[in-house]
Amino acid sequence: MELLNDIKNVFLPEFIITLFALLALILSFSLKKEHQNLIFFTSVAGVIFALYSLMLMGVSIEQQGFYESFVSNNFTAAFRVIILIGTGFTLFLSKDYIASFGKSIGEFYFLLLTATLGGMILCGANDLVAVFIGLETLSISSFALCGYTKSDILSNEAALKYLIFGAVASAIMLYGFSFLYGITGETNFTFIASFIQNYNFNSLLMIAFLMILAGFGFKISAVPFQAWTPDVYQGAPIPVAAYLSVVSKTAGFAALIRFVDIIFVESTLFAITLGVIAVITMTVGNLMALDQQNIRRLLAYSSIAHAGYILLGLAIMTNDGITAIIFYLITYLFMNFGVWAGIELFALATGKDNIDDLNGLAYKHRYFAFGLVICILSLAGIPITAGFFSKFYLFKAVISAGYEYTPLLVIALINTVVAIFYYMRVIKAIYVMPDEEVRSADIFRISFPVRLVMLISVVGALILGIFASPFIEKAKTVNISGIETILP
Amino acid sequence: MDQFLEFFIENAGIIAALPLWTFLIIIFGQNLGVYDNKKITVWLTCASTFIGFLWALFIFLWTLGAEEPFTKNIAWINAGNIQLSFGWLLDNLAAVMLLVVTSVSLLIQIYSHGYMNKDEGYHRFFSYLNLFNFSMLGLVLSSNLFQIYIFWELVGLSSYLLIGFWYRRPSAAHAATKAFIINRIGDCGLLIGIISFLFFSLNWWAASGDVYLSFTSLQPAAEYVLTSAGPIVYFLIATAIFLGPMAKSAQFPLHTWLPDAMEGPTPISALIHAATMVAAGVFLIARAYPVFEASSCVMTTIAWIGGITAFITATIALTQYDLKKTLAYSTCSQLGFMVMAMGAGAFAAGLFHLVTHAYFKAMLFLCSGTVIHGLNDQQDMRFMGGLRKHMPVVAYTYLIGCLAISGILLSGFWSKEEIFSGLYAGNNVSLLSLGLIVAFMTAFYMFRTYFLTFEGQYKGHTHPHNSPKVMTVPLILLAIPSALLGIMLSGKFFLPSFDKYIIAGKESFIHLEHNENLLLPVISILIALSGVLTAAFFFWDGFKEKRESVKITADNVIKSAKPIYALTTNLWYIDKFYYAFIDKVFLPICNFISRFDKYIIDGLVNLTATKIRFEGWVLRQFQTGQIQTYLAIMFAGLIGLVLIFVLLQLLLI
Amino acid sequence: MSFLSLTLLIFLPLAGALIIYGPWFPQNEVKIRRFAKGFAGFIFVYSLLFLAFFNPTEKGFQFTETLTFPDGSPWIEPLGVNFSLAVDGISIILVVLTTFLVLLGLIASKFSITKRHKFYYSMIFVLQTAILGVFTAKDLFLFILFWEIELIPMYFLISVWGTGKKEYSAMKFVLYTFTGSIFMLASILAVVYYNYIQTGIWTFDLNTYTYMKAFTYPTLFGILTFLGFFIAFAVKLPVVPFHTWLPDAHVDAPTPVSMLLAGMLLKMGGYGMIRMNLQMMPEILKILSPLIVIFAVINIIYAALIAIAQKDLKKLVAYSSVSHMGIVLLGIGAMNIAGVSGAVFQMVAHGIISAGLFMIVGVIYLRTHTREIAELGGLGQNAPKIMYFSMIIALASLGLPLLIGFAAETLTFYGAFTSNVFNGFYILNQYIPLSIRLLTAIAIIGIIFAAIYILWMFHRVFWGNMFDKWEKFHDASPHEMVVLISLIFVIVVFGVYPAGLINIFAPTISSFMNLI
Repeated sequence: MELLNDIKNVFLPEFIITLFALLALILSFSLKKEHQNLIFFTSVAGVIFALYSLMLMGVSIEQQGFYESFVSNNFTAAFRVIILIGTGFTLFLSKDYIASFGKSIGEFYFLLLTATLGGMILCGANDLVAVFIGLETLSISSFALCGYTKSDILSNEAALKYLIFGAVASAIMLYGFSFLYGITGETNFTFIASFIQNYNFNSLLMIAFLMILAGFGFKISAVPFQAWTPDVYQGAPIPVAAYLSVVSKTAGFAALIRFVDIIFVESTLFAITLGVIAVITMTVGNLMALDQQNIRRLLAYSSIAHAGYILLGLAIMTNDGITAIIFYLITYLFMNFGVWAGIELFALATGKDNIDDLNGLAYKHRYFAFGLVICILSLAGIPITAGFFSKFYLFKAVISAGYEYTPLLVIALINTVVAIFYYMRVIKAIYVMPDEEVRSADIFRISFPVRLVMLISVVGALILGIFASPFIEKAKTVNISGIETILP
Repeated sequence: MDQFLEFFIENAGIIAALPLWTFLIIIFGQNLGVYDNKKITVWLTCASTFIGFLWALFIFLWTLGAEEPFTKNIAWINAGNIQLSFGWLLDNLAAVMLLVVTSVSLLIQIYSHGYMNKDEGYHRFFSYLNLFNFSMLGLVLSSNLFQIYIFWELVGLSSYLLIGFWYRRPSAAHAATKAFIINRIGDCGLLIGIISFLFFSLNWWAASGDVYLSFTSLQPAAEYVLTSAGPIVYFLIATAIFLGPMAKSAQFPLHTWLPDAMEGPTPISALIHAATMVAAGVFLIARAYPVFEASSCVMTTIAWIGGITAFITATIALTQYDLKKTLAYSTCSQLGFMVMAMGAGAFAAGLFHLVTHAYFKAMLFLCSGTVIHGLNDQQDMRFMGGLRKHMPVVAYTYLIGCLAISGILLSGFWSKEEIFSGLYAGNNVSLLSLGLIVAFMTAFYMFRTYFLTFEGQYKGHTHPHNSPKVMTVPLILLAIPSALLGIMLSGKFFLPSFDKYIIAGKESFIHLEHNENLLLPVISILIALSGVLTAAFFFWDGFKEKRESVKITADNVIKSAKPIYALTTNLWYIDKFYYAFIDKVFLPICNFISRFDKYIIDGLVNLTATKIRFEGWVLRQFQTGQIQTYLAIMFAGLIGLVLIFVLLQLLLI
Repeated sequence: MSFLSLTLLIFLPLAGALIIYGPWFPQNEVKIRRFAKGFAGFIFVYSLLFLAFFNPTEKGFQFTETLTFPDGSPWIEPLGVNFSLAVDGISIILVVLTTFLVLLGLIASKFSITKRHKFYYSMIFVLQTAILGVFTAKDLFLFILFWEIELIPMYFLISVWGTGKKEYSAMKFVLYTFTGSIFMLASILAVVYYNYIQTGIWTFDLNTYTYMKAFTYPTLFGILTFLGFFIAFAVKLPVVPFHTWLPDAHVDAPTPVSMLLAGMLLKMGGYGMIRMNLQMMPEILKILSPLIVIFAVINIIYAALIAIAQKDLKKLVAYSSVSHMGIVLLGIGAMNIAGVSGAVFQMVAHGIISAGLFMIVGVIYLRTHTREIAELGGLGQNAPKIMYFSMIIALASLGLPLLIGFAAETLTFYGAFTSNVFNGFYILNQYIPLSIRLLTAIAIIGIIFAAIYILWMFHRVFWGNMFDKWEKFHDASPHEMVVLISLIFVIVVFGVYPAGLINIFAPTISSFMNLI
């Protein structure tokens, strides 16, 4: 009975996703190949139900379950919404893409839903063990997803790399957990936090912190745990890459924020560590993205850079910073999915993914090109797209954390300039090149589900840009009711 | 009668506005295809100038009875503590200048109708001419220093347009650009001077309530500036203002544009580059006399610059073979005289020379124009000669001009003699002797041109043809003042005195009364006559046998004084020095800065970009695609972070 | 005047862009251009109405209008950002200048734009929206928002329709401007946060920081913030050594875009400098004004000398732009009414004149396909109209009296000369005295250089012998005549009657200078 209560109070969406994942698995065994489309609809229904259940749950008061190892509140709910929407987008992206490889698609949806489950657990995890379970569920499903198109060598390579890297990162994290456990004798966040409050700092705690960071850093691809990103993004099926760059990252951030804000909020040294990692991450990401020829690799580096910006919001350790992160992740969801959808559309039609291949896109598909460019501009942070507002709000949060954070702000700002350079290269390929007008030589069919994702993303990126106010307000309330009790 | 005159005074601005309207009518009439008749253009122009002349006459009449100068102002710019106005100031000086400008201009317009009749740019010519009239009259009427600067630049513009009238000719285009740029140097100095003068006297103007920089209050303002700025700064300010007249009146070392300006049509050389615009510099000195007079250093500088100009350009004129160029250098030289007179304190004498010079030099230029026109654009005197038989009117009027400018009894004598006596009265012996030497040279080179052109045998190829009446009548009309104006206004023999008139109301100015001794006039006439005789000896055929018998011919003299001859034929190397400076110093500097900008500054920018891309490239070298490397990076990074932060923590605690 | 809405004004061009870019609009080039011209003309007339109903004597902003959500909450409440627009004496003329130049630019586009018409005309309109937004924003956030929006259309305008190394130039322009704007962003945030600390209100409202600022900034903080703003605007103005994007961008941009670039975009720098650096932190400007004035003088002289050495017609004009914008900087550095008025006047004057000069270059390039001055010559023989129009514009550029450039320059020089902002100090061990008067005198020497490069260029291009290959060089077409005559009309009218212009903005300037 307690289990049911716990599920009802804190675990309902996850439970629904689990059910639907199992349903998808069963269906994929039992349905004929022609009817496998049904699994897609099943999965979508699962996501919708999960979203609906979140609304029913009433998350305004924090609730805990499973012996306080899992919490549900406004904050985790917000992240779960982002994850679910991202999963929904991924499902739409996958429909035609996976089908084009001519394989059974049932397992794909199953794996995707499992990964989502892992991500959602990660959001609400309040215990080291729960964190690890969530992380592994997410990771292992992702490994399988990466290698889904097994005839593709790059995909195989990506899966393997991701697996090895992920395994090592998890191991390090686990090692860090053991340190933490050794120091405190607790696995629950709340208890650890209360223990640490009375604890004299020493190097051990710092080492534990950094090692645990390795696991999260791997998920959010922060430097120096980022090296897998380009290869995996390039090799993995495009919907999976999109999923990894948004959903997986959001889950990682959710856990990291809770982890840092609950446990390590006391010392400025942790803030400095996070700040340094943030700055290095964005700089490395942006520098490596320069002169990149492959657009998927470019996006990989860009996602590294964005991880850096988001980490900045955490490094300042203020409420405003968390609000900025949440808002940033919302906008990032739209703009990044928009771009990935665009790339997928292009790849589906032409099988190419170099920047030069985009040349002349504006002549052939003006609205598609326009949407893609809006999303890229948003990533670059040009008004009046969502990306500008999220960056602005983030920077505002940084400066209002105090003038001592100005160096971080300046480095971040300079990074946005570097970023402009490679984003503009994509825009140049789409709109400027080639010099002479090409008359619709190869107009390609645009898959409807992908187009839908793109449309929603573009509209989202614009709406969030123009009417950011309600969303920021929402992010603020989510944040305040959830975290304020924890933050000083 | 008074009320009648009052109308002309109140609306004196119309004198300047009339040519402006004519200018606009011609421009729009021509370009919109309203009319194509040359008669309309010339009648419009002449009518507007003639009305202006009558108007000026009435103003002149008014000045005879007026006690105070008349001023009227309209606000132009009003921002912060700056209040600049447009307006007109009517006093004796303005009246005289108005008369000179309108009368000379009128005659030259009539002449131009003949001279330019065959030119396709006939209407264009007259529109420019009207623009010039507008600017010049505006300049003369100006009520304040700032306004004079505006018209100062506008006359420069009209001069630029007219020199470059035949813009297809590279030499004309070149001369026009050169003229404008050199004038710009003067304008720049003038602007700096005006602004700094205004700065130091700002409080004074604000307190006085007068129009800023008004000429009527210039004297107390100058004193105020002198006390507030100190003598050294004041000297700099006044010198900066003097730069304006220096460029416009072609004073050394900014005189080189004027001879080149002869590329314009000859009537323009007569009107602008001999009679009126170049005299604007002298006019400005007269207008802003209180500014200069407050510092004796400035006055000395002015006088010496005038003297040096007069001397240098006179020596250059000695050896020129181009008829117009000779006249141009003579203009420079005479302007030098005027400036010298102003600087030496002979205020009235300088202006008197300005007036007489305007008439006889305009006439000389028109004569030369007629000759050139008659010989189908031949300007070299070595291909002339004996033209007296072909064009007697021109020859005799030219002779009158020569006599006038040489200072032999006609107009020039009276004005020059006043300058000499002024210098003498001021004990400026060195300048006086310089002036006398120049007077000798003037007589020599003027009669040299006369003998080479009108006497002896015709050495050209084309048949000289006579000019139409429309061109000769203005010559005759100009010959009258050239001959008689001097004595008429000399103040002797119970005739009216120009000096008394021009000085009226300005008694506070330094003014050297020329004393009534006979010595100086006699000496100056003798010197001029000896100049004439020398010229005749070398160039008149009547002395041909004589000079061959003593073996002193022009060629021999040239041979024996080769370095000096080279110096003068090369124009004292001033132009060459300028060109060398531009080519060897100025343009290389510009090129250097340009390259510096392109390679160093822009290079730095691009280097930054390249550096960033290089860093990206370096980083990408770690992205080998091998998982071992990736893990190594991760561990290295982790260990690095642990080391840094653990150490940091240890240090902090 | 309820029909005068600034929001409408700045979004009208955007609507035009949408109308043109949408699928409903025919692809026909002529129709697109006609519609664009008509629409731009309408916007121009509409902006003139603002000018007509503008009351110059009133202090502060006018036509203020704030958009809110239906429930009355501001645009971005959590940030304290209001969507509020307003104009004062300075911005109103820049607004009118913008609409005017866009109209002329569109007319001038007929021959220079030969491809992708829909895209081109919509981009011009987007650009217009951005620039109008910058000039009318009454909120710092809006200001930087529009400031950055402008990058994208400009990038396309240069890189798609340009010539030469157009992509490089466009990218350079974007990177430069963006670099500048991030410094501005940092400064804006710093200032806003400072205000928040002082007053507890988080607001971006311009009035809070300009007209009745209740506090002064600490010196070091102020200087850093000031420099942040300054760099942003210095890039745009441009100030040496942040100018190298300008020659590239100007040379490679198509004619109408060069016109707009020189005519309006550079003014954003001057406008920003007056709004932020001067109005927001005058006490810091006072400290740093020697630096500003020295920068200005270097700008004027350095760029003029480079212009003399140029062999490319468009580069010459571009560098002359840099030189002339130095005068704006000088006026701002002078910090008195005359100086700032001169700076604003010079912005308008330069907007008109440089647009004219670029138009002339475009007219020549269209016929000869070369911009090498040495290749040209004697063009006046076949094209007297072009020659005379060029002459008037060139003369205005070198500051001839009774043309628009003169009043601007004189006012500025006068303002700088009479400025008491810093009286003088010695550098290099007491050997070299330096005062604003000396520096101004050096700046005035710039008018000689201006005469040299302008007249020399004019002489080499239009006068003298004509090359045989330009036999077919034909005179101005009606389109070009309309553009040139309109520009010349403005040049002459405000040259003869500068008070007509000064009276619009001088009261505004004196009101805030008196506050300072």
